[in-house]
Amino acid sequence: MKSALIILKSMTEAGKASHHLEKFKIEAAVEKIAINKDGCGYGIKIKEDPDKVCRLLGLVNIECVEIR
Amino acid sequence: MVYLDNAATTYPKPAPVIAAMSRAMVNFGGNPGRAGHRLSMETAQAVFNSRLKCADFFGAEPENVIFTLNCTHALNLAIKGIISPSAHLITSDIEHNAVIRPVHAASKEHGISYSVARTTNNEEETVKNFERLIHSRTKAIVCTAASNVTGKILPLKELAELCRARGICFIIDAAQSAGIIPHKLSDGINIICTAGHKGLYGPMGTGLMVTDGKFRLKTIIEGGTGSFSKEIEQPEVLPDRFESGTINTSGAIALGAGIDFIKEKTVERIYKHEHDLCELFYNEMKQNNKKIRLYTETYGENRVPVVPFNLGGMESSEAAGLFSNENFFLRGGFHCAFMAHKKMGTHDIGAVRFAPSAFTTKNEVQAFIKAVNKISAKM
Repeated sequence: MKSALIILKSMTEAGKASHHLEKFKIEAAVEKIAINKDGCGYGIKIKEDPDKVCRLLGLVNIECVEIR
Repeated sequence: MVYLDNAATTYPKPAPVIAAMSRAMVNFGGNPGRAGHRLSMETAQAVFNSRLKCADFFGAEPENVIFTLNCTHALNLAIKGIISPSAHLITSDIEHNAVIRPVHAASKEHGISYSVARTTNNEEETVKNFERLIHSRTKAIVCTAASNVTGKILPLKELAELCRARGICFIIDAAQSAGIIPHKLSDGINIICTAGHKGLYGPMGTGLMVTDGKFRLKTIIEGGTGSFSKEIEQPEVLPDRFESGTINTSGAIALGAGIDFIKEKTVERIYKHEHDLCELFYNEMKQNNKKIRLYTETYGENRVPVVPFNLGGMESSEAAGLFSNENFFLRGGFHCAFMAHKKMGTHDIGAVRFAPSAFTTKNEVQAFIKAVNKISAKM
């Protein structure tokens, strides 16, 4: 599957997301992402269905800001 | 050398803390949360791992763990962050200057008011003394979890319940208690402020503000966070909101190793070890050395392990100097807690503070007892 980039609110949130997804055996690499609107931001790179990943992140109150 | 000043900072540090600090200086040289290159990202991951350990230790979400310079820094963030014009705060009469000075400064600079609740040996009475000071403008109770002078533990669960029922914020200064008695946000504490370098066995220059996120705090320091860089407003998102500027990266990483050390030893075992050493010292002095002034009838359960004492009426810093000459390192003076000394009746000469750590041995305490007896025999 093609990889997707999920933009999150902060570096720490990206770390938390990656840690949470480990429990579901989903690899998520934390990456720095240039966000045009706000400046610098962080997110995770995944090879899973991003909608499914966002649903899993929602379980621990992590909001997906944008999916690229 | 016998070090008995662990209430000021623990020494020695556990070997894994020293190794983590050293490893961080060598391997994690990038600035975390700033660049996207591998060194920065690996450092950020190491900081996050430490944040996660701290979060787990206090029952918090990782984003609600703020790395600070020390407990005083954390308390300033919490106290000055919670106030609004005409707000009212309540604190206790045994506070360290880390609490009372920012509260007092806020009263002068921001026009807030504050009240000081009288603590007693009766927990119910202490809670009532806090309760009767609450009024419609009371925003928070901010108090020590345990006195750094007497070791007295305040009735935290009852105070937390009082705050919860009134919808006010409960902030604790856990500098003297974190790592020695268990603290969890689930006990009803809204904000835990603590040093990283005392009972958590991290390096000096580390501290934590751990919040449950229920109360929005204003910032007292703004600046670069590596996030939302195009925005002129300080980010709302935690921990970025309170971590402007580069954090003490190696210190934060090593603090995680300190938390690992406590988890392995367990808080309960560390408390018992230190408590037993305090009891040994207290009982020896009480029973066998009439020249020593102790300030409680017994060495009780409801306190963190410190014993304040004096060599008769000798000025406490002078007494600490005599011990230092014999290679026993303790702190005399007022321990930045003049209110507590005033209450204990030592506002004139201060006190020497006996404060063991997880590393202090019974042999070391027995050697110190001999030294005290030798020095006091000459008085």
